[in-house]
Amino acid sequence: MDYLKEFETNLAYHFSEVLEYLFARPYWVYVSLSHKCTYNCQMCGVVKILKGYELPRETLEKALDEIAGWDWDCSVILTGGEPFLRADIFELIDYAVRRGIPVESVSNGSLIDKELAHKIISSGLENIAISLDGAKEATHDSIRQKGSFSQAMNAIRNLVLAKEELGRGPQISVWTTIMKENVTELYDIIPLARGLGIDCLVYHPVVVAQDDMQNTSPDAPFWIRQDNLKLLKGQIDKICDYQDKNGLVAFLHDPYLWVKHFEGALTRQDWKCNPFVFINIGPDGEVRSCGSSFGNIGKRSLDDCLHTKEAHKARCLMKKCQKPCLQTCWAHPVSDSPIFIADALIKRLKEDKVGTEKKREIIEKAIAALERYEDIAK
Amino acid sequence: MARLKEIIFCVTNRCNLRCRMCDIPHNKTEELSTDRLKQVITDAARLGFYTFVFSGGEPLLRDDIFELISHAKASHMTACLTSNGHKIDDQVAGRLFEAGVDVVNISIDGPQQIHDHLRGKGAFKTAIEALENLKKHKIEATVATMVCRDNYENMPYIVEFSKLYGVTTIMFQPFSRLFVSDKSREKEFFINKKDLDNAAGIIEEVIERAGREHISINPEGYLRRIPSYLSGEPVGLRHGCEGIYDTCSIRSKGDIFPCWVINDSDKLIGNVGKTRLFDLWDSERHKRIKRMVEEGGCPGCMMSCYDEVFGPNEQKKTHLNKISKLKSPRAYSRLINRLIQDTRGIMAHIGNRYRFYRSYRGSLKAVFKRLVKRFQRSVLPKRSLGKGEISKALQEIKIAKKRLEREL
Repeated sequence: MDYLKEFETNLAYHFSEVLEYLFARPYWVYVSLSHKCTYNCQMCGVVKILKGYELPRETLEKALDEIAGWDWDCSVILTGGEPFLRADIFELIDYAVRRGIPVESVSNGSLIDKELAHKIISSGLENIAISLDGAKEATHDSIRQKGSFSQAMNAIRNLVLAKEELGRGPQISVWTTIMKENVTELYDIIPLARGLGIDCLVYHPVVVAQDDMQNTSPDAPFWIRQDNLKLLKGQIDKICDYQDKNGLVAFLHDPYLWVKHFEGALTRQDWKCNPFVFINIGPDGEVRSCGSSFGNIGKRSLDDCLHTKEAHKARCLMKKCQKPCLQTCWAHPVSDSPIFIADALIKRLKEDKVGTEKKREIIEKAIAALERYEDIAK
Repeated sequence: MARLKEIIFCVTNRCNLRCRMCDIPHNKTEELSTDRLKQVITDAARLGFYTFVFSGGEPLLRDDIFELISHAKASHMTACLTSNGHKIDDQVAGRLFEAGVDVVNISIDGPQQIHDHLRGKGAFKTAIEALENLKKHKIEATVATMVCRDNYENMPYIVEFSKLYGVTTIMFQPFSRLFVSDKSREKEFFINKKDLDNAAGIIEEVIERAGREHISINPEGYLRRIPSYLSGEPVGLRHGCEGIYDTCSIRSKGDIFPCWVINDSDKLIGNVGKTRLFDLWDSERHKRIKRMVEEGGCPGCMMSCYDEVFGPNEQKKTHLNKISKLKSPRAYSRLINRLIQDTRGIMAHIGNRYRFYRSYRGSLKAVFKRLVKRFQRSVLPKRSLGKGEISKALQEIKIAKKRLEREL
């Protein structure tokens, strides 16, 4: 059944995009709980753009109820500002976990002392990510603020320790933003993180302006200029080499695309996102995938927001987007064409050596699923 | 497409009672899992059904019923429960209220003696307690009465009884062969031809009393047909029944037929235990079966239905008839007086009816909101899809299908 579910999910995403109709629900729901943050990082727009907003608990609970009712594999990622500044975060996590929704969270680590680490590890989260932007204290501190490096390191240590003590807990990961300031240290973060005992490391390129994701001008702050791209390439070589041998690094896409991204040469042919895979709920309650808002969950239900005219317009624009931003809201590359989707299914069935009869049943159902979309397309 | 109304799901065959007129509990217990049922609820909401009716057996025998009701509510549908009142004590009523149930439909067949005779000893007491507890927790309760030879004379009693417990709506449902598998036993529920007049008189009394007490009952035309139906005469077709288009009834095993009455095996639309409701509804097979029913004709039935047009329509018709026969001016003034009186009655009636309807389908505001929502969804901006894109998509599907077929 698993095979079929994956197959149908990919089909739903693909045909949602192609036929511009909501066959699928988002795979990722990012919820920015509050604009408040312990830091004021230079590259982050949330604190500046959305000042003064905080998502009311009841609104969010209503949205979580809806997500639970979707009958769709969907993860909620609690971000901020700094999500652990909210007093009710553990109640919110509990609310979602009880409804069977996988929840993840991202933090800068500034608040995670031993006590909070214990709470986080036992809260039912699936993944907790800590941002680490440099292998050296000076680099991380210059991007964020003084003392932030040691705070992040302490947070990771506390989390790892708490997980060891409890014997279970979420995946602990480190997220690194790739930018001019840390381009020479990208690889060095790996041994540092490994030494701390984390489970997973994720890199993603910087967004220079939150309100204009497509700002790729070489003059922009943090941007890696042409002359430094060789450095970046060298780092990627090393990272890939490490990943091949030891794992740990999770790539959301082909890492060499970062070079193209900073060259400003990345096009839709290289990489595109699927507007149906990801939504972001801001602290003001506005729902977006990218660009303009779909609607506000304070005024209407989340499902209604996904169905609005504005949502349709925004998605159509995303479909035409020529400058992909390579953010963590990645698409399912396999869902680019039903041919890939079918191939992926056949490959998986072969790899797992599924019995002839079961295979036959799965493939027949897969064909039926394709025929449904064929009917709709006709 | 017709406006989708309600989905009636027989969530279990199990029942604590063994009523004379119902053999459902003697059937094999085949139930869907909680997750599967939740999926059906989600799909029903996505398809646009207004109301989810939890029926049975006795639905309260399922441990997860509260969870299911909350799920239906979270999916923005109204949730109705039909029950014999079993287990609805103070605590259960509280839990029902918390789960957000909109209407609970309790079966009452007559005074204690008759009710217990038909449904088993102690059943009446449980039902009364249930009504009291529901009232305490301010849950809208309705009464459903199965009418047969043993209790047709008690129909006026049911009206008085309902008034006493603040019930706004009664649904009279004459005995149906559908629920009895032993055909030789059918006889004991039908009335003698010689009692027809008596029965007709009782029906008139029920209509009159319900009008006086402003209690909603089935349409008058429907009620007047009950005696002849119970004396074994065939029922004619009902006008305006859109059951096969806008309601969906599902058996405990998950089988969907076009309606309760049409249940031949060749008209099985599918099973929600195996396929998702979303995929079954309006599927090619469903469309074909609907066409089969349209062409082959419907056998007709006397199933009661909450949404049928109410009394006023019939009154309007008789007034129109009278107008065409009127001659003197005095007769006109008499008729106008009568019209005013009737209108007042109808208004009171509608007020009462609205209270029920609000629980059953949602308040005017909610209905309006839902309509707007539908409108918003239907007028999506023009698709920017070119013909090329669609033909490309079709071609890709074809290739993908070929690749899969090669694996077979």
